[in-house]
Amino acid sequence: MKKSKLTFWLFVLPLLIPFLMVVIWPAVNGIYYSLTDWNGIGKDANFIGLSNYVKILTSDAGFFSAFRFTAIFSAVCIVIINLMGFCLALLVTQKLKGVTFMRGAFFVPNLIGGVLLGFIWQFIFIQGFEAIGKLTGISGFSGWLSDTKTASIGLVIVVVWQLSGYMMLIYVAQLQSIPQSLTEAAQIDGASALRRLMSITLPLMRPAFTIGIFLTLSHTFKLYDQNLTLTDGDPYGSTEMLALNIYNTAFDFDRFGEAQAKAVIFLIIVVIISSIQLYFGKKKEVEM
Amino acid sequence: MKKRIVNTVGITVLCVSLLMGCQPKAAEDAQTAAVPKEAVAEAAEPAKDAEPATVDILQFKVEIAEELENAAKLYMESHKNVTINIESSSSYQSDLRAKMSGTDQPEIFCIDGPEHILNWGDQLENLSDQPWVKEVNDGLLGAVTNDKGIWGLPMTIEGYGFIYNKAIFEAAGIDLEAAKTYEEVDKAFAELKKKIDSGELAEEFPVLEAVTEFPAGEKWVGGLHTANLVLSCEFGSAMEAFEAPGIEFKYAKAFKDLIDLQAKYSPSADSLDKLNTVDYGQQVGGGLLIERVAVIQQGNWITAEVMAMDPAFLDKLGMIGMPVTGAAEGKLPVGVPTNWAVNAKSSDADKAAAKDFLNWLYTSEEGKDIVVNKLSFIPVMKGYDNLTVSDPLGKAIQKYSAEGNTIGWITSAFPAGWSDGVMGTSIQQYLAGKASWDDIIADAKVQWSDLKKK
Repeated sequence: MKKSKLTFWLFVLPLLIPFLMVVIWPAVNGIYYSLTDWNGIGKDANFIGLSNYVKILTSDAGFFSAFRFTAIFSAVCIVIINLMGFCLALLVTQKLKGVTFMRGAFFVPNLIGGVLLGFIWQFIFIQGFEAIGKLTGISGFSGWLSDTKTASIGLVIVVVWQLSGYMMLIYVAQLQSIPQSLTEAAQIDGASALRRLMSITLPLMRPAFTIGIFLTLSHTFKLYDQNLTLTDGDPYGSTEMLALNIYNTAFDFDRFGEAQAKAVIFLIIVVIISSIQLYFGKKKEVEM
Repeated sequence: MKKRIVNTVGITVLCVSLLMGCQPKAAEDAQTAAVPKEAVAEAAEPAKDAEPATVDILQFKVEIAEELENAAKLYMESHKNVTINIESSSSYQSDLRAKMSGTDQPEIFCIDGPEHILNWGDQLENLSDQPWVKEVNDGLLGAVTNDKGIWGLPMTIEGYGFIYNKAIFEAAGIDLEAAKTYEEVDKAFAELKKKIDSGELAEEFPVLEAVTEFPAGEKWVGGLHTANLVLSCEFGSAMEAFEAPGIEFKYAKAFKDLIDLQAKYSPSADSLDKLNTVDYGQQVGGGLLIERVAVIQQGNWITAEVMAMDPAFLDKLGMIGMPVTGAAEGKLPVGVPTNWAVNAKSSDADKAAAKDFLNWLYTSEEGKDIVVNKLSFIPVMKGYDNLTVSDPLGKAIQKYSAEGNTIGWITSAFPAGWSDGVMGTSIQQYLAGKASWDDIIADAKVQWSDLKKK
C-alpha cells in the first residue's frame, strides 16, 4: 500500500509541479490583480475590492457588445465548422481517387498560423474582392471589411476555412472506427444510404461530435489572432471579440486590473458553457 | 508488483533526467558568464574599456530599423566589446511592458513625455550629466525634464501636414503653397477634383483618381495627429494639457472640417465607410507615391519610404500646414515624437555603453552624418551646421520653424488609449454614418476625463 502511494506521487509530481507553476499560480495571481487598479506598468497596485467587476457589469458597453458579438460568432462558427468537417470527412472516406491528397489539402489551412492567415485574408477581402467587384461590376464584392455585417461574415469564412480540416480529421478517425459489419448488415436488410447515415453512422459519431463541438467552441470563443489581424475590431470596434477587448483594455488603455477582471469573467463564462455542452454531449452518447 | 516498481523507477529516472537535461548547460553558462566578471574585477583600470557590454534597443520607428542597425554595426566596429541588438516593434508599448516585467529588459527604449516618465519612474536613468544636454536646442527637452532631472534624448523633430505632389498641382495650374485658410485649401482641392474628373490630367497622370486619401483604418492618423492639431490650439503645451482635468474641444468644428475635407475629396467619397479599411500602405505607397492621389495627411517620416521606392520622387513633394479655422492657419505642427531613454536597472557596464552609443550617434561626426543623411532626422542640437537637411519635407519643417509658424505636439499628454481607442474609433463611426459629429465629440470629452482618472 505504502509503495503504491509512493508510485502515485512519483508519477504525479513531475506534472503537478509545472501545473501549479504555470496554471494555478498565474490564475491566483490574476484574480488578485483583478481586485486592484494596477495599470500594468508601475509598482503601485491598490486594492480596490470588487469595483472593477461592478464597473464592467454595470457600465461597460464595449464589453457587452464584444460578448454579444463573440457569442453569435461562436454559435455560427460551431454549426458551420462541424457540418463542414463532417461532410468533408464523409467525402474523404469514400472510395474515390485522390482522397489522401484531399485529406492533406483540407488540413493544410490549419497548419498556417492564425496571424498570417488573418493578413492573407485581409488582402483577399480588401484587394482581391475589390478587384473582382470592379471586373464584374457587382457592387456586393467591394468594401467587405468596412461593413459590420460583411466583416463578420469574413471572420466566419476565415475561421471555418481554417478549422474545418481539423474537425474533418477527428471525424474521419471516428468514421473509420464504426464497424463495417453494422453498415453491411443494414445494407442487406435493405436500408438506404440515407437511413444508414441517420440510424447507424450519426448515433455512433456522438463521441466525436462532443469533442468536435467542444474544440470549436473553446477555439472560437477565445479567438484572438484572426480577429486582430483581419479586422482589429473595425469598423468602429463592432467586430471586437472578448479576447481582443480584454487585450485592448490592458495594453491600450493601461487598465490591467480591469482587464484581469474581464478575463476572470471570461474564464467563468467559458467554463460554464463548455461544461454544459460536455454534460449534454456525453449524455447523448450511445455505447455499442 | 516488483515489475511495476522497476517500471516506475525507470520512468521516473527517465523523466527526471529529461528535466535535468537543460541543467548542465545552464550551469555551464553561468560559469562562463561568471568568469569574465571576476577577471574584470581583478584586472586593473585600463581593462575597463574592454568590459563586454550588451545594449538592447527597443524602438518603434520601423522605418528607420535598417539604417539604425547599420549605425550600430559601425559603432560596434570601433567598440569591439559592445554588442548592440536592435528591435523595432510596431506594437511597441505592449512589447516594452512585456520586456520590462521580465529579465530581458532593453537598455535603451523610447519615452514620449510626462505620462511615460510618471509610469516608468525609477526605471529611467537620469541623463542630465550627459555631454549632449547643453547642445540640445531650446525647448526640445521640455517634455522629458522635471525637477529631478532629464530623462530622455529627443530623437528628432517631426512635422506633419498636407503632403502634396507638386507636379500634379503644377500641371493643373493650382498654387497650393499659397493656400492658408480652410476656404483656400478647399477651393484648391475642388479645382483639382474638377480637372481630374474631366480627364484633363489623365494623360500625364494615368492612375490619378482623386485629390486625397484618408486612412481611417489607421486610427492614429485622425485620432492622434488631426486631434493633436486642434487640441494643441486649445492648450499651450503638453504639460498644460496633462494637468488639465478635461478638454473643451474648442475647435471641434475645425476638426470636423479637416476630416470632411479629406473624406469628400477621396476616391471613396460616395461611400465613406470604405475609408475605414484604408491603411497607411494604401495611403502612402499605394496612394501618393504611385500618383493615385495628390495630397495626403502625413509627416516627414514618409521620407524613408519614398527613398526606398524612388529617391527622385522626393523632389516632387511639398508640405503645407493644415488649417484650424480660428486658431492656426498656415502653421505646421512640429515636435519631438519620442525620446531615447536609458534603463536605470541595467548593469553599469551596459548603461555606460548605452549612454556612449547615444552620445556617439548624436555628437560624433560619423554619428551626425548618419542622423541627418541616413536616418533622415532633423537635428535636435547644435553643431550640425555643415550638414543640411536635404529632403524637401525636412526643409519645409525647417522653413516653417524658422518663420515661427509652428504649433506644438501635445500627444504625450493624451490619456492612454484615447487617441486610437476612442477618437480613432469614433471617426470611423462618423464616416460610416453611425454617429453624428456632435455625439462623438461629446463622447470623446467624457472618455478623456474618465481615462485621466485612471
